[in-house]
Amino acid sequence: MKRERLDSSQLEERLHELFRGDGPAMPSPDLLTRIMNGVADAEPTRFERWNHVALPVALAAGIAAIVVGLLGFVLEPRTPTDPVAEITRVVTAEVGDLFAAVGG
Amino acid sequence: MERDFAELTRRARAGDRSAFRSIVEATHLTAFRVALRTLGDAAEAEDVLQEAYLLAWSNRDSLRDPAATRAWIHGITRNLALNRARGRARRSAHEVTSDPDLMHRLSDYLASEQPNPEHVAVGSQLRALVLNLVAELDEKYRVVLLLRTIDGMSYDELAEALGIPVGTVESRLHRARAKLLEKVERALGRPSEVMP
Repeated sequence: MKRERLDSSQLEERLHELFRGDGPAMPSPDLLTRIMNGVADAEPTRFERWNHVALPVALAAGIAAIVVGLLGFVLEPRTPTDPVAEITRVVTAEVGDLFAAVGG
Repeated sequence: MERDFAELTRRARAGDRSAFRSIVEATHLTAFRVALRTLGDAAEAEDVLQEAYLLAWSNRDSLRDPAATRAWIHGITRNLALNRARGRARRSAHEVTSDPDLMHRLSDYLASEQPNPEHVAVGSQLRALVLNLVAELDEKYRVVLLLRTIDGMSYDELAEALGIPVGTVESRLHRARAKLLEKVERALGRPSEVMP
C-alpha cells in the first residue's frame, strides 16, 4: 500500500522505523571517568595550594623584617659619651699601668 | 528532582567534586548526542565533552541560576562542537551512493503505509542512504532531525539541548523532513510531493 502524497508525520514514522534498531547513541563506558579525571587534574596540587599561601606570607614576613630592622637602626637610642669621664677612665688606666711597671 | 539538581549545582559551585560528578552523570548523555550529531564522529564528540565539562568546572562561579545548569552545560557543549565542526570541512560518515534503484526503494519505503519484506531486507542500505542525504542538510536541520530520529529525543528534550523554544524545534523538524524528501525526489528527477 502506498500513499499518493507524503505528509510530514508519515515521514517521521518511516524514519523512526528505519532507525529503530540502532537505538540512541551511547558514549564509551569510560567517558565519565575521563571527564572526572580531567576535572581532578585541573585542580591545584597540594604544593600549588600551599604556595598560594606560603609565598605571600614569606614575602610579607621578609618585608616586615627589613622594615623593623631599618626602624631599629634609625631609632636606636645613642647615649652621648661624657668626655671628662672618658678621659678620667683612660688616664686612670694608663697611670695604673705605669705604677705597675715601676713597681714590677 | 529539579530541587535536587539545584542543590547539586550549589554544592558544585562551592567546589564539591562529587556534586559535579552527579551533574555530569545527569547531563552527559544528551550532551554527547548533541556533540555527536553536530560532528558526526564519536571520538571527537567525546573530546568535546571532556573539554566542555572542564570548562564548566573552571567557570562554575559564573553559574548564577541553578535552574539553568543543564542548558548552560549543553550550551557550552554545543558551542565547542560547532566551533570544531566549522574548523573542518564536513565529512560524510557514509559513502555517497548514486544507485537510482536504491533511491527508488527509499522513495517507496517513505511513501508506504507499512514497510514490506523487501524494504526490511535492504534496511541497512536505506539507513546509509538516508544518513548520506541528511549529512548534506544545513547543521540546524541535520542535528535536530538526527537527534529526533535516531536518538528518539522528545521535543522538550530537544528544546533544552539545543537552546531553542519547542515551537522552533517543531518548525525545524518539519523543514528538515521536507528538505530530506526534496533531496530524494530531486535525485529521482521528480518534483517534491511532501504535504505540510
